[in-house]
Amino acid sequence: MGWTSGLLTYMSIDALISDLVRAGQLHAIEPTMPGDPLRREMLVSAEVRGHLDGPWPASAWRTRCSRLRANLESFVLGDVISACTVPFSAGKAYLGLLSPPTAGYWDIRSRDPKPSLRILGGFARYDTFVGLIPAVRCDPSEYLDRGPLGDKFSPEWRSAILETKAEWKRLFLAYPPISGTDLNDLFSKPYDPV
Amino acid sequence: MISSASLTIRSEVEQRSPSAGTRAYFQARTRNKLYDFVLRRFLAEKRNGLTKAVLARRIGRKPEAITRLLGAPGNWTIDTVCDLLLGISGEELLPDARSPLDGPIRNITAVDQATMARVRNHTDAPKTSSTIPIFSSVPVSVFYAHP
Repeated sequence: MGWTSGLLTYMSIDALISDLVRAGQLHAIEPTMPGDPLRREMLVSAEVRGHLDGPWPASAWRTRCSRLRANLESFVLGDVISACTVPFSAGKAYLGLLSPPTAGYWDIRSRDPKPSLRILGGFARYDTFVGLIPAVRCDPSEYLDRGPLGDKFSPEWRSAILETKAEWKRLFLAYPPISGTDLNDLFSKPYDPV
Repeated sequence: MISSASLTIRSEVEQRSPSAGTRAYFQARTRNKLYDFVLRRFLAEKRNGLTKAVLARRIGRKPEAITRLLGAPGNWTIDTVCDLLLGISGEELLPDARSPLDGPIRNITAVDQATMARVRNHTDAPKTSSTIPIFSSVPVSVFYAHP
């Protein structure tokens, strides 16, 4: 169903994504370097894009976001991606499945250096990750609207997941994120470190 | 459309005056490339029977340390990469370098190109849940491993 009108106009997930990109609701992560391959797709919200593209309020935040950019591009470039399908057990994995696992929401984990950052989102289709909500894991950041997510059972985590879910529904309407714990159904070249 | 931040990074590389942000970008990028390089080797050898326990024994580490190391490149050192490559495939890392600005310019949008890649990848993806895809081609131009 199209998000742009109140009419019951049904469209495929591919058409819906194209529509969202054209409308500026989602932004594609492009590799920074001209010769880099583009093997997967990552779409991000305007909020995430703002941190990637600046302007940044401080050079330290630009530096941190530059590392985040490289980490997000790693997905787009088709690198091997480590992903953990057990909530609360992601360890050092790049992707962690959030609780409840049946909902299909994940966080991308940009852990180094501090503050450790998270991009919450889900897979709209095979090899296409949609990152909607940026957050810091523990250390407060003056550059993000949200407070730190804190402990894994914290209300802040729950709130961030609910926010991700609400934003997903706003954008994708009847299309939930792809759920399941078989990484091969979600993206190419997965590595389960567990 | 390429972002202004990306253009800034390109410009700073071209002028050989990388800011802290551009250096951070390439530091993370290099770590990611190394991780991808080593993990491709590990996944290939895993298909031939290599386990983390075997790798741990080969390079004198505990299995849980191997799990940590293969989970992310965050705390890798050159020694770590050396050990992992020797233990995984009996190879050594031979450095090479090139300008990241070299290479063909993409003339289609990211979404279009990613769509083509997605279709290709999904067609190639195994359909059973117990297998992990092995990739015979390793298009990493920066690092080479020598047996």
